[in-house]
Amino acid sequence: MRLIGQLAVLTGISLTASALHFRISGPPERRVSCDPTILKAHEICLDQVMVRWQGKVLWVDARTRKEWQADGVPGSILWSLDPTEDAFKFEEDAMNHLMDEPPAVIVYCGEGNCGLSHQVVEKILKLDPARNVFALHGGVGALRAARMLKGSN
Amino acid sequence: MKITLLIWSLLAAALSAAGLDFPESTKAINAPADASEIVADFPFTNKTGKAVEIKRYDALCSCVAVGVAGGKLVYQPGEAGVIRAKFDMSNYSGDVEKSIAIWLDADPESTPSVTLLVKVHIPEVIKIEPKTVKWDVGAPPSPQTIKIIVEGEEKVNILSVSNSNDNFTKELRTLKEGSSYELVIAPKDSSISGLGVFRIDTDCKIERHKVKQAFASIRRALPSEAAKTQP
Repeated sequence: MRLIGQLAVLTGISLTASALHFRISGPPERRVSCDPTILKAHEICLDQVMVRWQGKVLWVDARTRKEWQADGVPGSILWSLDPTEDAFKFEEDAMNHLMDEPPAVIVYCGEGNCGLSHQVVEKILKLDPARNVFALHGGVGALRAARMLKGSN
Repeated sequence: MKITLLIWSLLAAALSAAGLDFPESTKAINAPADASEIVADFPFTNKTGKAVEIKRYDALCSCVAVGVAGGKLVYQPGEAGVIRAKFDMSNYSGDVEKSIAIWLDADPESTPSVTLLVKVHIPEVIKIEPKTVKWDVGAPPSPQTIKIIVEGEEKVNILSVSNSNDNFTKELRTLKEGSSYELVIAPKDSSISGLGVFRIDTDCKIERHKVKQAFASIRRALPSEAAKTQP
């Protein structure tokens, strides 16, 4: 009985400390943190995209068609590496959009550690090596936190 | 109170020690040019002092099917198992990296305990350099050349080249039958912006390398560039 009481006291102390921390520091940070000094080659933070080009870039969604249709960035194009998709069509579509000379092309994929965006970056650079093409650090998670996905406003 | 603190510390220690030991978390695979599926096995052992449960695994790509050998998800101390990843490579060539995330026990959604990486190299078979030739609007319509090189020992012949835009002329030159070609492209009228899509059909035996694509574009002047030319 005494043991249960003591465990209850410790749990109470933990909960009180958590509540105090929440009150002082506010709710947990939901933004995807991004340190420009540790980015991989051809990777960029969302903040940099917003500062350098005010977000007026060509957004390329490297997820599946279903995901892109559900909540892709408004105005984005799809370039999925799904083997059931027509890769030639994606190339052509991207080239058509590159004719509009966007200042940069930003490719995003699923949450966290997603390598798809880097592969699509490579494919776009093969089409046009002189372009500013980057994979978005944090992928769709960063865009969701910034309320930039379709239906997130 | 001492016993309570001991229980508390043991609980905390058990949680922090949760994990599986993967001797090899990165695998490099050189795949044949016609590979459509690649299998990568990642053996592991539970080297902790408690049972570890694999709660979830995800390859973050629809092209990878991940599984645990035998479907076993709970591993007692000292027990070993294998994570198997099958990659559908039918849409890839060149260097491809795929990662697999594994969530154990009470891992938070954002931070899986284990991330495995597979690096695959698949020969391109037919290399197109560059993929795109470009002219600015109004620039001299001088011809530009796309090199088509067959990599590997097997010969590949170009059967035809089609063009989506009549404003571009094309000429296919054979430098070495079955291994080296040049596609020479020129705009008829460079004052009209537009995109030409060149579809190169070959007799390559590997289905996904049979057709290649190249582009020619006459790019529009940007509004800022156009403004500079105005008085």
